[in-house]
Formats: sequence, C-alpha cells, structure tokens
Amino acid sequence: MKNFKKFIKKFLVFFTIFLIFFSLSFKIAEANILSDLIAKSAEKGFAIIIGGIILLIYHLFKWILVLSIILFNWATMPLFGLPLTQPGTTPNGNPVIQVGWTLIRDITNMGFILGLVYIGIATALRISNFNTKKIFANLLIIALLINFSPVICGIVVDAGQLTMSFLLEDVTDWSKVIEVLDDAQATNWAEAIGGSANFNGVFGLATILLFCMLASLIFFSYFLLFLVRNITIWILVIFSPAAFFAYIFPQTNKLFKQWWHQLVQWTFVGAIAAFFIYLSYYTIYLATDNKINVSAIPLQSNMQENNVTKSPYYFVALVFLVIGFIFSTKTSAIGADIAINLGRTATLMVGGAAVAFGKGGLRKGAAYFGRRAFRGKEEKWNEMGKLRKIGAGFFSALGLKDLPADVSPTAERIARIGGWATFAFPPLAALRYGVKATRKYARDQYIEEYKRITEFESKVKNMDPLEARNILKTTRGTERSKLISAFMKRDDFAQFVDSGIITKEDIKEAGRFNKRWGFDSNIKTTLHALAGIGVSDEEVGNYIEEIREGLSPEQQKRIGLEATPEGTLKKIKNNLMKNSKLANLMSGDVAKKMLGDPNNYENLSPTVMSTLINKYGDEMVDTINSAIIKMNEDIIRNIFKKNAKMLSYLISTAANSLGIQTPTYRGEFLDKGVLNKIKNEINPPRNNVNISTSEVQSTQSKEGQGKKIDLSDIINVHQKRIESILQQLQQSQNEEEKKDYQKNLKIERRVIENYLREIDSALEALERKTTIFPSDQQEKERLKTYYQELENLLHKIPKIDK
Amino acid sequence: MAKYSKEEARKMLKIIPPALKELIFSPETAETILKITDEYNINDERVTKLSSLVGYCLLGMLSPLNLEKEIKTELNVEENVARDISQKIIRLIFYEVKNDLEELYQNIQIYPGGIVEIEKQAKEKEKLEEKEEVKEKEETPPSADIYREPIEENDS
Repeated sequence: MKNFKKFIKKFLVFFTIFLIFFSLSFKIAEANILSDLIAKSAEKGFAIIIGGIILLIYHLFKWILVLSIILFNWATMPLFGLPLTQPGTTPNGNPVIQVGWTLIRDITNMGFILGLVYIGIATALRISNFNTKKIFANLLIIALLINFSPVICGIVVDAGQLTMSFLLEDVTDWSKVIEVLDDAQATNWAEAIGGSANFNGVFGLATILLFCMLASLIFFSYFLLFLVRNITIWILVIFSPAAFFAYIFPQTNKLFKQWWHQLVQWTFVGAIAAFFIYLSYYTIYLATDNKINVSAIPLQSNMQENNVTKSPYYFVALVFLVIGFIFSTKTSAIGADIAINLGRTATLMVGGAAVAFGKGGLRKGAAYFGRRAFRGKEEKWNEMGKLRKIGAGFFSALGLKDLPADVSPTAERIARIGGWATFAFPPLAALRYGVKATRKYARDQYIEEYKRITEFESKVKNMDPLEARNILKTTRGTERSKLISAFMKRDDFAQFVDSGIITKEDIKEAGRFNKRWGFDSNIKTTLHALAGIGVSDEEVGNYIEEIREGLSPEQQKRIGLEATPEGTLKKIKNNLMKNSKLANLMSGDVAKKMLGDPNNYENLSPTVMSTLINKYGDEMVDTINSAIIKMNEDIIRNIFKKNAKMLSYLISTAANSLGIQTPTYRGEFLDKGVLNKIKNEINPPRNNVNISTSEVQSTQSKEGQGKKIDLSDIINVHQKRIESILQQLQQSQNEEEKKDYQKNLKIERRVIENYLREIDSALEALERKTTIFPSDQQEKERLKTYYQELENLLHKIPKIDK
Repeated sequence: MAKYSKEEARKMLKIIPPALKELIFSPETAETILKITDEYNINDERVTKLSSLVGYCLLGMLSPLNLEKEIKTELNVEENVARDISQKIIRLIFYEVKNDLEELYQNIQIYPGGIVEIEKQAKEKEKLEEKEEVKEKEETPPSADIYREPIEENDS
C-alpha cells in the first residue's frame, strides 16, 4: 500500500509539471505569441509538423484513456469473475483461494498441536503472565473457527463490496468521457495551428490534451487500486487461518490485529473510491447532456460553445476522481481504524462506560462497574449524590444503576418511562445493551484481577527471599502493584523495604491500583505499610487525602478513612500497635521508635511486642528496657487502666531470661501483688456489697424466719469506703482521678439505695403477715434501725451532676 | 540465677529453632506461667523468676530435667510444689515443642504427662516393657482349639 502511494505521488508530480507547461502555453497562445513566433520565424511546413505531433500525442493519450477506462471497468468487477472470499471451484468458488487457503489451514492445524504442547509446558513451568484457561478456551474456539474463516472474511468484505456494487451499478458506460474528445475538432485545431495564428486551436488542443492525460492517469490509477485491492483480499483470505491462529496467544495476538486491520482497510478502499467515482460520473453525464447551465461560463466573443467551453465541468469531474483516489488511499487507514473500533465497541459498547465515566476510559469504567457488579446493591443509592432524585431513574433506565428500594416517586416514574424508551428507541436500547455488556465484562475483569492477586499471594507467601527479590526486581507496571499487594502479606515485608527493593512509591502505586479496582482490604494495608515504614506523617496524610478522593462514604468507612487525615493516621498507628499482622509491615527503625516510647505501652499489644522482638531480636530487648526505665507511676497506672495485659506480660514473659527488666512502682518491682495494689487504688473492691444484698434477699424470701443477718458490718464497710472516697476526692488535683472517685460515689449511692428498697420490701412483707410473732417484731425493729443508718449514710454522699 | 548470663542467653537466641524462639516471646507462654503461679499463690517476684527459668529451658541453657530442682531453689518452694509446677510447665508449654527440645538437649525424652527422662533410661525402660509384653504373650494360654475332625456321613 505504501509503495503504491509513492508511485501515485510521483505520477502526480510529473503531471503537475505537465499541467503547468500547458497552462503557460495556453497563456502564450492567448497573447498570440506562439502563432506570431511560428509565422515569423518558422517555415509553414514546420508548423504543420508541430500540429501533427500534437495531434499524434492527443491520439496516443486518447487511446491510453480508452484502455484505462476498459481496465478500470474490468477491475471494479470481481477479478476473473471469481468470488473474493469463497474458496472452491469455478463458477461458485475461487480456486486460487481454495489452493492457498487449504494449504495454510493444514499448516495451521499442525500449529494447534504445537500450541497445545506450548500451553502444557507453560502450565507445567508456571510461566508468569500465562492465563492457561483463557488461552486453552481460545485455542478450542479458534480450532473450530478457522474452518469458517472465509465465511467470516466474506461477511466483512461483503459489507464493503455491497456498498461498492450499489454505487458502481450504473457507472459502467464511460462513453460520455470519450465523447468529450471530439476527433474532428482536434484535427481542425491542429490544422489551424499549422495555417495561421489561431487562439481557438491552441486553447482547444491544450485543453483536450490535458483532459485526456489527466483522465487516463486517473482511470489507470483507479484500475491499479482496484486490482491490488482484489488480489490483497484474496491473499488475506488465504492467510486467514494463520491469522486466526495468531489470535490465540498473547505473543502473536498482534499479528491477528494487523491482519484484521488490513482486511477492513482494503474493504473500505473500494467503498470510498466508488463513492467519488459515482460523483464524478454523474457530473460528466450532466455536463454532456447539457443538464448543467453551460452558458454560465463567460465566453470570449470569438469563442464558440463546444465541448472545450464545457471543459470546467469535465475538470470538476476529474477533480472528484483525484480527490476520491487520494481520499480512499490516504484515509482508508483512518476508516479502517474507525471500523475496527466500531466493531469492538459494537460488542462491548464502550460508550456506556465512556459516557458515564469518560475520565480514565474503559479501564476505570470497568473497575467501577466491576466493583459495583461484584458487591451488589448495598451502597448504590447512597452514591447517587446530587443525581439522587432524578438521575436514579435515568441511570436505572440505562442499566447503569439498579433502582434502589427507597427511591422517590419522581425517580420511579422517570425510570419507568426511561425503561420503555430504551426499548422503543434503538440507540438507547443499544446503549442499554452496551452498558450491560460492559458491566459483565467489567465484572469478569474484576474477578480476573482479584484472582490474579490471590494467585500472587499464594505464590509469594512462602517464597524463598532470594527468589522473591528476583521477582520484585524484574516485575513492572500493574503487575508490580499486584505483587507488592501480595508482598504486604509476608512476615518479612519490612525487610524488602529496608533493603530498598520495595520503595514507598511502589507502595503508593499499589494503593492506587487497589483503589482503582476497589480492593478495600489491600488499600487499608497499603496505608498501614506507609506508616509502618516510617514515611512522614505529612506525606501519609497527603496520601490518605488522595486515596479518600472519589470514594463513597461507605467505602471510606470500610477502609477506615472516615476521620480526618490526622485521625486516620492516629488510628493507623494504633492498629500497628495492636494487630500483629499489620505489625509485620513495620520497619526496624519504626519498631524501635515505638517500643522505645513508654507512653505507647498503653496501646501496645503483647502479641505485637512479641512479634517485633521475635523479628528484630535482642536489640529490641534493650529498646524495651530503655522504655521500662522511663516508666513512672503515672505511666504505669495509665498502662494498667488501658492495657493491664501488657504489665502482666512484662512480669511473666519467658523473654525475661534475655534481660527484660521489671518495671518498678513506688520503689517496688512490679509483681502480681503490686498489680493488685494498683488495681485497688484505681477501682476499690466492692465484693462485700453483693454478698450482703443476696443475704438480704434470702431474709426476705424466708419472711424473716431464716438466717438473721447482721447488716451493721456491711454498713460500717460502706461508711468507711464513702469517707475514704470523699477524702481522696478532696485531695485529688487530677481531673481524671476526680471523675473516677465521683463514679465510685455514684456506685455507692446506688448500692445503698438498693439496700433501702430491699429493707423496705422486707418490712412490708412483715406488715402483711397475719400472725405476728415476737421475733417478727424484733426483726422489724432491727430492719428499721438499719434503714435509718443507711439513710444517714446516703445523706453523706454529695449529689453529683451528670 | 546468677549462673545464667544474659549475654549467653542472647547468643543462644540466634541459634535455637524458630519454634522455640517464638515460644519465648509468646504471650500465651506468659499467660500459662501466670495461671500456674496463681494456682500455688505465688504472687511476688518469683513469677518473674519462674518465667526466666522457662526462658532458659527454651534457650537450651537449662535442661528440663533440672527444672524441678531449679524451681525448688529459686522459688523456695517445697519439693512436691516444685515437681507439680515443673510438670505443668513441661506439659503445657514444652510439650508443644517436644521434638525441638529433645533435639536441643539430645539426651532427654519428654512425655505427655510432663515427665522428662534421660533418653537412655527411657530406652531401657521401653525395652523392659517390651520384654514384659512378650512374656505376657508367652504366658497366656493358646486360644481354643478350633480343629475338628470331618464327620463322615453314612450312606445308609
């Protein structure tokens, strides 16, 4: 195709020069310079020779033009009357294609065996990037389809051929073009040149000659174009089995695309050329039959109306042909591209995704749909945002969204109308179909990506670190992002970061990849990894902002991004201290920093601590010791309040054998006794109260006949406790401590009120008794005394505002 | 306790199998020690001492065979208490890594009940038991004679 274009270009340059020469001669003739020259400087006989030569050239070109038209007509018909795509014997089939196609098909069939072997080996050796299932399925389908490859080619070629045939159906008689060339007139003009200075003669001859040359060139070019087109389509059909086979493997898929591109391109060449030929033909036809107002052309006084005076129309027709030729050869590639893209979109209707989610193209759209399709309906409604009321109906009608349950009546109405409209109006129906097809495609893509990551995870999980390093060094692009996501699940992830094989940019990119596909858990891990490797708070904060952008509130919540970046970061750091799996993301330096700060022990889980010491060895023991030395009373009390398990761990871990020091509290080494002391300081014991209450109940149930209890001791305990709390409350400067004491007072109040209620009901029970014994009377007195004492105690507790 | 140096302990940490290392730092080990000491009302600094002894055993510095003796000395408890604590530690903590410990100390054998024996003794004991089993087999009377003469059928 390229060489052909070059040839045409050269030819056009040559003719342009020729045209300029004739235009000049025309100008010269108009000024009667040429005839003067001939008359003055040459013999009469010489002028006749010139006229004769010009006439000869005219006849030569006329003959070429006639021949070109015959060849052109022949080339627009199927070559030798043979079908373009159908192999077989004449008259219904093309024997050339039959021979070539059969041979290529047989060779390709052998290729299938090799293909199967290749799939087998690739599967056995676990060659990366090799999707066995998909390729094997392709192989089976293609093995079947190659037998129908001429039919498939026929469908494509017929699309172009039908258009071409329709346009060229009536464009067979080019005699009108020949009519333009009037032989007698040409002879007269030639003689006139020989006889005297004659403007008409020179002008007429030049015009005819020019038309003749241009027309013959153009028709010959068209002949070549159609001839090459026919032969190329034959060859493409012959090689179709090989091209189909190339489709199977990712490595050869490109060859199939090239073949397909050529097929569509050469099919379109014919259709575009036919359109311009059609246009040109009718221009000449109209001019020759005087259906165009020729008088519109200004004639000089000495000019007669003839074919030459109509020449502008003929030239217009030729220009149509020239443009058509250039257009069909130059733009066929674009046409082919458009056709190929249209073909692709016809199945996927990329439009659906592109219209709704234009930014980022199909991939983002696919990711979006994939996420939605995978997760179902849970958050769709909330994501509608501003389009909530009206947009829901529209999107639902197109299949972009499922109509949520709590939809407004307006939206429901629009959805219903839209739904009918999409069936009634074909483009909308197509879009609806496209959206559905895209969603299905996207869902498949989502699952495919998810599977890939899972595959990576199982592959990488127990991989030897050396092999892991090699894989990390050689993997790039999105595959690397998937790999990094899988590596984040390894216990030694931080070591790859420490050695520089995984960078913070890798982690960020992995996060972006996971965001694109909506793999929330991996996004979460990415954020923890960034904080874990010691990226500055500001940078992590900015990254959190970046990730948060465009996510639905539900998704943000799932990932743990609902707070401000600062809040999220704090939460992430807390998680690193509490979750041993996430703690694996921590680099040695960050772990040291964390274990070295005694305040962190309020949140640090013993499991995380054990993970970090286990991983980083005895140097962490020194770090822990440095923190233990810094632990003062307040810190220990705070740790006890929030994370008592940590203190128990420090006392009883077998790692004490490595020299972990025991914290001291008020000069005493921490042990279980000291821990109990701290416990009592923070929360004074209240066990007695419960026992007493149950005793009161037992008294009540036995209606005073059972075990007589002595509440005076209990009252004394409570009295002492309340006094102690009140004293501590007065002395305390710490607000938090004060709150604790006030809380304890409230509890005391509740307990005493409970006693009072129970004594009250016990007294009522005694009152209800029909027969009252002297002992009952004593019991009543006793209970009344207790009641009084407890009431006095209650008055001692100040009322505390909520 | 002075006989166990922290430096040596740290050196050993680099040599011992990962499972033992993991057990040293494990919060579950710490919890088990706390529970055992709770049972015997040990609430003071002896808890830390016991946890250290467990650590030394796992580090390959104190044979589980000698654990009972060490507990008695270091925790200052009675012999039977020391034996009980030792057996519980072996049963609840060490048995999980039985193979690693047997390999580390080479001459011991750990039993599910929390008893540790020197390997040779254990083997001899096994041999004795086997012999006894054989004897028992020999002594048991043979099973009932199932052979029966075929009964001839009379044609008449």
